Amino acid sequence: MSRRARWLIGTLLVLLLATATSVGAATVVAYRAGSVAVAVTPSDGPAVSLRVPAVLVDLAVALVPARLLRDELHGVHELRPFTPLLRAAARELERCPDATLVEVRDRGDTVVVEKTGDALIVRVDTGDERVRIAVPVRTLDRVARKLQSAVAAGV
Amino acid sequence: MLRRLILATLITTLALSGAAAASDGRWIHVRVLEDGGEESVRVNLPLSMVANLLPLIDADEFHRGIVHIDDPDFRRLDLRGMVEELKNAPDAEFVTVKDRGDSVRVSKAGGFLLVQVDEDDGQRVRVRVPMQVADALLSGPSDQLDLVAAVRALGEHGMDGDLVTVEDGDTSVRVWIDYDEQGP
Repeated sequence: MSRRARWLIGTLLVLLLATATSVGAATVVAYRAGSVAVAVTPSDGPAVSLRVPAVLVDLAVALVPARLLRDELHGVHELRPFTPLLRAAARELERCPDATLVEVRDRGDTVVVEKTGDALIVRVDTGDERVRIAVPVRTLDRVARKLQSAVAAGV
Repeated sequence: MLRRLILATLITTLALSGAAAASDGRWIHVRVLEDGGEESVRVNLPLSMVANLLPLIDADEFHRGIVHIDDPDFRRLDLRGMVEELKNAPDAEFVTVKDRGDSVRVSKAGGFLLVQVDEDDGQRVRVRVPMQVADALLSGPSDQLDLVAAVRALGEHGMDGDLVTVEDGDTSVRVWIDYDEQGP
């Protein structure tokens, strides 16, 4: 085997290893970050289910400039008094043990907010449809932090 | 009126219970049942969470743990003086008001301030608060309830059990503290 061929094979192996390591690391990060899941099941019609790796949401949140968020969300400045509360609530949720935090029942309709593992889960059941939303608590904290930045950018 | 009472009760009790600020595993539970249970609201939160979030809530008359009451009648009540008297008094029933079918009783027992309201129409209110908490709650100006001070006092007391129960026809409210995250 020529020296040039060995160099080429070596380079390819290094690239392959780097790619495998990156994909593996990304998989671990994505797995640890969990996923944002939304499922809507109407009583008449097709069910819609969406599951996005939370790491993508985190990335999107990190990349969106605070000023753009402020400009696009016109009412964001009204959140100013609540952003410290939102961030603190997100941090508290991380420490909170698994539990049903809120449960509202009104005859046939039910709304449940619960902490399960690393996720905050909201379940809404009405006569017309069932909605289930699961969001990793860390993602909530990142979104709250971004909102705080957006509000601050409006100063 | 009842809804406002319930709301005020919930906010006050949530605030007070936040006392247990310490993460000692205690939970605050609020249960509201209406129409004989057809409608219900259940809230279960760690006391530490309530204690940490309470000072960040800023809404209407509630600012950073202090409730401002814009009512001349409230200022004239001299609740501070009443609690001061009760604090130094032995266990006893101090106030009893009876008017036809209605009755209000205020007493002190085992270090707790107990309030019992029974109305002719079946409305029944029970409040059980440690004396130190009532004292701290009224430690500010006469038009304010200092919930932060009350929270500290309740945290030091470390009580569990019922704080407030309200029964009014087919509506009932219960607020209590225990070590079970889901309550009974």
